[in-house]
Amino acid sequence: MAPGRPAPAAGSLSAPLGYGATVTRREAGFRGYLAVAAFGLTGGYVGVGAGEPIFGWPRPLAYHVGWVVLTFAVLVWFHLTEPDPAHRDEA
Amino acid sequence: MSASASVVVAVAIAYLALSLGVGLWPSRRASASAEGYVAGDRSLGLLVMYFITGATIFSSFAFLGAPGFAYAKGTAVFYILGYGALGFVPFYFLGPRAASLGRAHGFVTQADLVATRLEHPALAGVMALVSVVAFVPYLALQIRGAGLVLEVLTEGAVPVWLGGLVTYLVVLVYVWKSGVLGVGWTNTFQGVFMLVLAWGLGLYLPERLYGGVGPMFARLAVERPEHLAPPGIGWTWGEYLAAVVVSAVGFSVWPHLFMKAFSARSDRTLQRTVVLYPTFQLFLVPLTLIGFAGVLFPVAPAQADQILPHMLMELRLSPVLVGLFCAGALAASMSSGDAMAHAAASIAVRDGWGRALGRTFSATRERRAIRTGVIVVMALGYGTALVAHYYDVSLVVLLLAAYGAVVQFAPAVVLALYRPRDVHGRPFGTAALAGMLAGALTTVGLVVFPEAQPVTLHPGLWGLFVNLLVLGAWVIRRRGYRDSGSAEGRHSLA
Repeated sequence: MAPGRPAPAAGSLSAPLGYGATVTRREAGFRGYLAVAAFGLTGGYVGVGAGEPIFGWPRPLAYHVGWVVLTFAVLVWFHLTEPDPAHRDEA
Repeated sequence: MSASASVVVAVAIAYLALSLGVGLWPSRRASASAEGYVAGDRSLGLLVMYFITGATIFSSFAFLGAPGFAYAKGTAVFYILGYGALGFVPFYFLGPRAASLGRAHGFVTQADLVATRLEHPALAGVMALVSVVAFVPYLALQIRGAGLVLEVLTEGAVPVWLGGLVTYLVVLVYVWKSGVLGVGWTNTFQGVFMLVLAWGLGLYLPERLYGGVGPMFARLAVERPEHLAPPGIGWTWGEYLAAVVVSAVGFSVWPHLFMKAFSARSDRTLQRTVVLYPTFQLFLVPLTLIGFAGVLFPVAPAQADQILPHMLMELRLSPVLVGLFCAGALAASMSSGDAMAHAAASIAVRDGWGRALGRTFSATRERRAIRTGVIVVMALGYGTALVAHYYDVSLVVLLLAAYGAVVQFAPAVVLALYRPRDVHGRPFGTAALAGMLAGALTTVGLVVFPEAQPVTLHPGLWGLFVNLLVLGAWVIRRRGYRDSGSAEGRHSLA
């Protein structure tokens, strides 16, 4: 954390996850989503083909469009909840 | 030339003239330095960054290859949505870090950053060589795609050599004159044009042929269910997974895309570009619909990649509509070809000639050398396109090898950004170079001898395994050497 910044409130998105980890709840949530999405878009694709179409679209197409839209929503959330971009570490 | 072919040619010429105007317009806005020509003085805003990344990635493949892939392989085409959804996410973190280093040290290319941070000039040479070798067949595919579209849609009145030549002379003029700003603003114009056209055609063709998208898929489910069953016709799950992974890794390290980190106005602009990027994927959805619409089309095209122009010609649509599609396909080709020619020339001059071979330039001379490089790269791409077309040489094999080789940059890029030195303070340059070379050679070897793969995957993925193994072994060996050296030192002191 940059010097002079107040400590995040316990339980907030910017608070560390706990158990000695420095990763915040927000970052952990984002990484978790990426892991699930990576699985969903590769191995998780198995078995998607069976079943009724969704809104007239075949399930594999609806499934992929769903992941694209969900990823966009998660990226927007992650970006908008960034605590203070001005204090990000410089390389 | 028939009346309808004349209309198509007129629309294509009007489109090319408009692109030229848009490309030349920003020529006076950048400084005369190499940084102005290559990185646009680090001034690009969100709108241009969004379209420059989106339109650059959607090449001729989007308008010809994606519908052709859906037509021939069914649901395998969705791998493009798979890697596109996540592939650019690492750039949310890599991009601002690279931009920050670029501002501090004056980097404008990826190889420049990697070779400096890892303190090994040979890395610049190897990355420059691989980049240029990768870009030439890619550029040739774009030129050939532009020529083919014009030839098919004018019923042979404009041959491939002429269509490719005229289209890429326009590209050459605006890239030569305006550098990355010309690329950026034409990509914005072309990106908007492609989005409108793709959705228009993607909804119109299923409606006209089957009464809508839903009824089209209902008929496909009954008559050709294999086209709707994952992972696609002729693909295994391993191949599907490998295609997604290699493409996703490649996304963030393709040199012409990575370089845009040095062009953005701010870190927030870069991050917003990544956040908005998945919306560009939705542009591909209608193009896959067009491919599926072709599956039940009564007359088959000569090649799967020609399914879209083939349907337009067979349906006897208005020549103006055919001309607009022609302009859209040219936009897709040009929006990728311009960025590649610009990046290849910048990397060859700055990293290959300058850094690896030790040549020093003044700012003006460097800019002039890069402009000459653009002409050379375009000429190489055009020559390769003609050889491939008239001698029926497959560029896809070359492209596969090139793509796999570029993926090998990923470990070196990550090390350069986050961990350029080991715990003893020694740079990772030699280890990264050894891994990169081993990975690239493995990839090329497996492209030439695909039967040597233990499991059929993308050769680039095997290359990446070898790359990481060599890198890891090198680091462990050096650490062991250091530790034993320290132990001997302690013994001798004792």
